[in-house]
Amino acid sequence: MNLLLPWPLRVFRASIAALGLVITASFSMALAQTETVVAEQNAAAPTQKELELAEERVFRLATSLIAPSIVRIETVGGLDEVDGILAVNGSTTGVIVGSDGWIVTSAFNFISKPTSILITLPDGRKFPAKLTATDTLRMLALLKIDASELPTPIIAPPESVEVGAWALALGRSLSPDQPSVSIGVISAKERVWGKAIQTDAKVSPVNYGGPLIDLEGRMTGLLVPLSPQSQTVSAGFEWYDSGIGFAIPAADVMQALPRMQAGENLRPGLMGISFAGNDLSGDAPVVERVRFQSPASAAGILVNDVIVGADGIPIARLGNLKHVLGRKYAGDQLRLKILRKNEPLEVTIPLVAEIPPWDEATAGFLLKRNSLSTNAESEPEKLIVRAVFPNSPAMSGGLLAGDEILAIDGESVATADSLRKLLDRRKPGDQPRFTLRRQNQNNQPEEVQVSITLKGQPFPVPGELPAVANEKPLAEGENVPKAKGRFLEKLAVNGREYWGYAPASATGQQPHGLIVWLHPSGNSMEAAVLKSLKVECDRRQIMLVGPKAEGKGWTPEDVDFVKALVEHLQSEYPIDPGRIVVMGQTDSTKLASFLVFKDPAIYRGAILVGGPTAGQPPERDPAARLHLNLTIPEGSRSADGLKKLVESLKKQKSAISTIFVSGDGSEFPDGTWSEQIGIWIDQIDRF
Amino acid sequence: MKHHALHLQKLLQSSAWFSRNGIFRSGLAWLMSICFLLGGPQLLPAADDEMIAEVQPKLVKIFGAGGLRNLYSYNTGFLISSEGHIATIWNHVLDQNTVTVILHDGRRYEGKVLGAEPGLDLAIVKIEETQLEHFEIGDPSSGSTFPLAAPGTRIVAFSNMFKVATGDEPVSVIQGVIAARTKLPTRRGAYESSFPGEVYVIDAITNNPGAGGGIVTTVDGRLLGMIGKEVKNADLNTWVNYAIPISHLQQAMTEIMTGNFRSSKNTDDEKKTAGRVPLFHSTDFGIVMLPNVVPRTPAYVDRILPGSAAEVAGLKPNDLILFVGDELVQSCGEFLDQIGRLESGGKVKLIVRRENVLITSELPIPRKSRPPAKPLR
Repeated sequence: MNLLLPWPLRVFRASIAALGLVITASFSMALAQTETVVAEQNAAAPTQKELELAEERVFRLATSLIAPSIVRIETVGGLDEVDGILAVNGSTTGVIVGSDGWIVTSAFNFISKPTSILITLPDGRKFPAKLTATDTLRMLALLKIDASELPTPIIAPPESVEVGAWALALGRSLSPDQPSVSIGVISAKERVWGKAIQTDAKVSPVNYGGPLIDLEGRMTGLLVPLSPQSQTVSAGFEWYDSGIGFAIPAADVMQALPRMQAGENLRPGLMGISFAGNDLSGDAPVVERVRFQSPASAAGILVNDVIVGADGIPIARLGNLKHVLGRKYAGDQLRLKILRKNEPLEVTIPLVAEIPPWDEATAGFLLKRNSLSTNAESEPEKLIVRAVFPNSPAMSGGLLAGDEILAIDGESVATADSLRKLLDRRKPGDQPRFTLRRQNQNNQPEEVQVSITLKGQPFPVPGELPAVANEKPLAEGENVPKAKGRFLEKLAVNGREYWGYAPASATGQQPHGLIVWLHPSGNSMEAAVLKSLKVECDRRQIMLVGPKAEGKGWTPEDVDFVKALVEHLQSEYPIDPGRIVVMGQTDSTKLASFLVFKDPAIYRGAILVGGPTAGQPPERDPAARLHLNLTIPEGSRSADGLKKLVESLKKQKSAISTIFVSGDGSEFPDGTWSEQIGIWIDQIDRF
Repeated sequence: MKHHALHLQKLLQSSAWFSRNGIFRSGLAWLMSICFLLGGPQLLPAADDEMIAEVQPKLVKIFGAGGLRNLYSYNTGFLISSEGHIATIWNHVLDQNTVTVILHDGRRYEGKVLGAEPGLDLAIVKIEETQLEHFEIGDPSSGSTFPLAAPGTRIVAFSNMFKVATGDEPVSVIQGVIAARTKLPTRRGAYESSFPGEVYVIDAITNNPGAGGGIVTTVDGRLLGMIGKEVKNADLNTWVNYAIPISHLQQAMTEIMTGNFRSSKNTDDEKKTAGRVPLFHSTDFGIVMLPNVVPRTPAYVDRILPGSAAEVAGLKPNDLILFVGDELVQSCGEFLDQIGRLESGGKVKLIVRRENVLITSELPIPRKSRPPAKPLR
């Protein structure tokens, strides 16, 4: 009769006190016949103790129902330590999910990359196993053994998983004979960005890879270490036995199974959008950047689009979106509802596992810079080649200084911006055809075609580069120069002090580069910096400014100070927005790079002398063309670390260049270093 | 209703049968009928006041050495005779042979360490008092034994963890279940060795400073085990919560109380020392291993000596040796270690992996009585 009755679970879970007399009476009869442990059977209502004993039996029954599907995994060989924690080398647990030898387990169990994996079935048979596929989104691993007719567990339907319901976490690592049991409840669902069930049953290497089951012995989830903050395989291990444990819902495991059985490694799905703000529970998802060559960019997502829905779920904040995206694999589709200037729009984005780094294709020449005239009547821009780098593709292709660029592959170009956009669509190795206007021997203009094979990053900085001739400075009084030469001022908005150097040319309208010097803590090095760079500032039209830290060193608030200072200088001097760089030495290189990484729209590059970057630079793309210059003092203790950093930046196709100097990095470099820095700033707006 | 009960009975008896056959569904409907009766949103109180009140007077708080070395200086203990015999964990707290014992009601005594069995992590402390409430340990030789509890059994743990209880305060009570019954591998060298036999692993954080010597009981107050030390599971790199089954301690407890005890520690040490001199090397079986270069070099066979037992048994170069007997060998070092421990005569079973197949073979162990002439690498 029970088979026909709906399972009145909620009623009884609501309160144990709600047990009706009839049911308790029948239940005590059941106990009387089955449970000899209960010595003095009371014919009336069961006692608390009797209920507890019966409950214990249910725990054991549920366990024994699924036990034949819980296998023991042993590994041989592999690493001793991974991610700074000792790799597990004991037995671990897996669950049979396909009767023909498919076993799913936690990826954690293989972080040591073992050479051999062995499965022991509950009946004692041993099999070598092959790792068929891994899932780095849900941290699963699928194993295959050569066996058949294996018992598989019943999968709990997702709707049957309720917060507060009993949950048993089972493992095989402690004993091959009987699964270990940890008892708790379901604490939450859709945790860790929608991926996991949370339980207070104790989850640890003892049962990672084992099942979380309900009282019917059905598998509700697969136990794995997880962390909402980190994506590494061992993330979440530190929470073992803490009352915070996670399991991937069994239904999700089964859904991922066919792809993994086919040998596909599943990975988190990416769309290639970064958002303004980082308050997951506060900020609305407003698109700040769309990664170049990403699915989002292919789908036509634009900066300032607001995402208001994903897969039919309304999105108000970043966290909502992360929740939907957090459970998607590469290869899955994401349906986005966006608002563009208050117009609703729907796009479907096929997610990918990796967005390749953008490798800017470069020819190796500079254009003449137009003066930063405020005069609207200025003559139409001409794209005149100012310099061609020695031994560059542009030189091999036959481009000459003085050529005027008219078109690329037949598409005419009118401005430097449109030239850049055209070249950005090319990849390294492409051979765009440049249509040029060139003076012939008779001083007559004629059209010339050249092909240039573009090269990727890091593109070499030329060793020599003629400087731009200074225009005649404006006459006194014509346009009042603010401060010439060396100056010391205070910023009006906050009274903070800074020093600077403006070459005489800064009174004109030729665009100037700007170096923002962030001194190392406790030493402004003003004299040394000025001495080293003054000649280059004069020769290559560069301004130098040195904000001063208050107190012991730089603080996070100084980010805004520097920004305000740059804005102020831009209002006072002809500063080229494409050539503002931040320079730091030893302990200030992190702040210098941080500023640049954070605001690529303001800062085009960083000069880091004898110190590392603040983490990884953001992905380079046409909207963020960062240039990095690392100066490595050969005698510095950090030299080896910096060399490694350069190597890794090169792999990411960063526009990185390196200058080696002698000394231990405590002195500010000068001599040829200063010349190289001058050239580097002068070529930052290269094509 | 009779119908219902009969099926329930069948189900309970036949759980072993259907798990063996993998036929889950037949029993499921009936299991469901139990589930809806029992699934509650919270843990039921695992034990009643009466049971707690009965057990608490049998537990004592022990204070001793330790503070100076920045170690905790307190243990838990439990009375096992009306004349003041107290069982507790054998650790640094007992180093000075006299300790302060405080009963549940605040009475305070000087306790003397009567005897200890380091091999079992057990010590017996004696206070001078009579008519104390206590657990009956009984004499194992006269058939008084303690039952073993299965995983999933509800338990209650009593201990003075973190010395939360002082004076006449009773010790702390926590609840959980038996997670498993197993032997504990501990990381050699890095941690104090723990009890070598099968223990109860507890699904609750029982093993805290000061909890050692406390007890684990069934929900109806029957003694199951003594809470052990704080140790890490060497294989899994996690802290373990465990209790030593009383049945393993029973004999030693009785012997120490009656003064008939001789510690097995020395003989154990002798055995260990003897074990360290390996009697056999893989070459005794005709197996030459690949050089053991890193700690986790897998146990790959380099070559097989002609005419050897290994050749007769069909072992081949490049076989990966995985088991010696029933012991998994995870590295070449472990394999040589296992081979070294073999006793003369009889046979040894080796399981190797060749390509993607496991192959079992048996090799006769030669008769040998002297250690090998050459030391092991």
